[in-house]
Amino acid sequence: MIGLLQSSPEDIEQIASQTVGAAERRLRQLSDDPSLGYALWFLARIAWASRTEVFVSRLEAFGFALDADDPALSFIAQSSDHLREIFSRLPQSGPFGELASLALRRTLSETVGQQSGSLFGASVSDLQLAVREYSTSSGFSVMARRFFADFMARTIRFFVDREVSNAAGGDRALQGTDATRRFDEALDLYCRQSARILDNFAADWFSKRNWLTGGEVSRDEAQGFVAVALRKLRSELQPAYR
Amino acid sequence: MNVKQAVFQCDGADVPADLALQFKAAPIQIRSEGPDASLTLHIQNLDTRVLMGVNDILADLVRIAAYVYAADQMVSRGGPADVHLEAWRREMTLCLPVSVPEVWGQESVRKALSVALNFASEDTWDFRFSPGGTTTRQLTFFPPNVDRALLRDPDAVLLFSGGADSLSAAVDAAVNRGLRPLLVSHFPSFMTGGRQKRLWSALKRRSEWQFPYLGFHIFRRASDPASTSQRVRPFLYASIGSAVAAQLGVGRVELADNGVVSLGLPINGSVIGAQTSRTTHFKFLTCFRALLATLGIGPVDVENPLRQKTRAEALTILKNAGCSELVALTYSCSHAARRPQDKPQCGCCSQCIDRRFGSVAAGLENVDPGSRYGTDIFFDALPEGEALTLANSYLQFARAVVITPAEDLFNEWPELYQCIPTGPGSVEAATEIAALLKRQGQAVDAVVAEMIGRARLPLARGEIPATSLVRLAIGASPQLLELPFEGNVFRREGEFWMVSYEGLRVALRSTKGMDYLGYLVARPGQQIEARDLEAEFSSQAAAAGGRGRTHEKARQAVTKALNGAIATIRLRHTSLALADHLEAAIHRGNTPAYVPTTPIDWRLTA
Repeated sequence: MIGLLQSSPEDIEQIASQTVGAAERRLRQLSDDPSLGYALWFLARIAWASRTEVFVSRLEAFGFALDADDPALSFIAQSSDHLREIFSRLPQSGPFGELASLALRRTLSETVGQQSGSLFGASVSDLQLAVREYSTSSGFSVMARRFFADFMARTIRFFVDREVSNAAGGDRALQGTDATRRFDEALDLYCRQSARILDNFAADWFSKRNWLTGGEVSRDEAQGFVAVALRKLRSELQPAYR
Repeated sequence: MNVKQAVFQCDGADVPADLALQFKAAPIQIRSEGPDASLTLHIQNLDTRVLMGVNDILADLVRIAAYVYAADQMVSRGGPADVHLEAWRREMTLCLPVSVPEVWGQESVRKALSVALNFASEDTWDFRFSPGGTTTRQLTFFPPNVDRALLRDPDAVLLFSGGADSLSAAVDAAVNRGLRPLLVSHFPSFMTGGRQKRLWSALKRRSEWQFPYLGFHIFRRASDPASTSQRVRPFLYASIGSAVAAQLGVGRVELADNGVVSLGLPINGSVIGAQTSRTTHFKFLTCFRALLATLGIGPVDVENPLRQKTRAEALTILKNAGCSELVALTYSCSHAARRPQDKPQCGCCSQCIDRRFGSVAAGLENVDPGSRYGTDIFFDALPEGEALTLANSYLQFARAVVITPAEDLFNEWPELYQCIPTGPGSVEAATEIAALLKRQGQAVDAVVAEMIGRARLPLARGEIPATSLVRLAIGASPQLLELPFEGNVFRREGEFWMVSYEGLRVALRSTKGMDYLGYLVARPGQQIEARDLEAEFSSQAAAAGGRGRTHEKARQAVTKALNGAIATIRLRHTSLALADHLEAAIHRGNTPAYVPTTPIDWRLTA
């Protein structure tokens, strides 16, 4: 990947896809990462809870202090605190705990913003309604796709951003800030497209797990989902850089 | 990932049996006294040199912060080679003596302490307290039976680093907010502190308030540090500031960073979490205030007074207070200790880049010119590695902030959710943050545009290196260099005046003087009474029928504004010919006018 960036200018989209492929090895190591598993579990539980009449009570079980009229921003901010407390006990995740937390926050934030029309104007009730739209099997697969796409993009950028800037300027691959921005956009797009491979699996998983457990998906089950999801993502990445 | 674990025994404190069993290796020793002392903890009152005893809990807080500061440096975090942060996180357990173990040993206190340090450093911190905080040398920093009048009755404590932001906060506190701040500095050695003291002396000369000043010399001795990240420094600063404030009965402690720095956003994807310093991060200050409340210290409010200001806006505080020249005595560079006197800023570190942009945006290049930076990021070649990464990332971040809709900023940077309250006030805080980031992005854009304009001829001649920030900004868009030749331009565009003369272009923020110049240049040969010229740009004067002032007062005000504008053009437009032309052609007096000896064909509209 570094060699590609140091070469003469090429198609930026091609460079991005090759970069994505280079992350395959790291994704394999993350299959049993407990922070990633917890984040996915939390997302699944919130999605299922949004279908109930006791959404706020379900949040209290996580230690959240919220009313239905509180801003949705408060819920996402409390989610951030909650995950930080959990992940502080999982130092073996290293930086990937933070990446998982960021991906979760973005997933919730985008979901609320898109459904309610205004992130800043949404309440916890609006958040529940927004997430409820994604609490079906097909809907959860969209949220899971967003989550993993963002996590994958962040993971890749964690490794490559340091080198991307060294490839900027002059006759190098990225001829300036604008090209660097297009590289990032291409990377994000590639990750989102690659994550579509999870759609059917995520829908089946959500439907089956919640039917079997009555909405009480366990952390082990969520960890199992992560392992399969990352395997599928890796298989999607591999042809890109052969 | 394997997480490094370390146990410390501080000044002979008891090491619980369970810890001794769990960790086979002997604890790492930290001593502040005796022949094997490795930690210096000395407080110097720079004002009166008289010292006294301190409240036990407060003394304990300062000692704990000092032990944490030392311990942090004694365990490696992987170093520069560990780019993937595999050794970044550590589990640190400190066994230390305190005067009031029954307070510190409470579960709520230990947890509050750990939460604050965990957020600042991303390490896991645990504490085991035992009796014994009293040493042969008392921790002292105030006169006996302290009379606040001896320190001139301060009503705020301000952490003073010697940087531009803490200077701005000090001036803002004394000049704009009518406070009487006591300054507190941390000195990491007995050899440092000279810069802060010089700045302090200069500040006192410019101010009625004389800024009483305490210095805390807290540092490790003997071996080189195994870790230089110093992410626990916020805890040290907040602790010493709060201890001083609480001892004096002062209710306010200020740690100052401009708002954008305070947000602690990563500049690119390779930077995660506490890799960006969290000295004044909203979440850290919230956690620290919670610790103080749990300890029953206070009421002491710990705040960042510049949290709603960009760097340029913070610097403008100094300009508006007539203290611009003090900027030259401040140090922002992370490599300041090794810099020559004539170039005290390296120009390439994140602090220097931010400062350079801020100085240009605030119109302070006369006191902080590019020549005082080892590398001028705009026009010099940036070396590969961190310098190029930081410059490119800085531009990219600003551009992204400008083009991202305000509410989507929290999608693009979900780190921002840690910068708002989790309860009431979250929407207001989010709105303020979005507005702050937008102003920052727009200011960076304007500076870049100006620098491209200044360098138009050298760019066309190929004299600007490909890895300079100006060339990075232009990138593969050479059409930016092929701007249609407009000739000489004197035209207002929004909040800026676009002035182009002899092929060199500059964007100047609108001021009264620039507005007067623009009016006169648009009407060559026409005289106008100074009072009427004022009224053109002042709704107040216009409402009074343009006769709000006497002739003499109007003449003086207009003349001063015109002179100021021409001086700014002389500084900012690199061809002196324009300033010389205006100096000769602008007639001041009761009836100013623009009377060029040789007519200039100015383009006044787009």
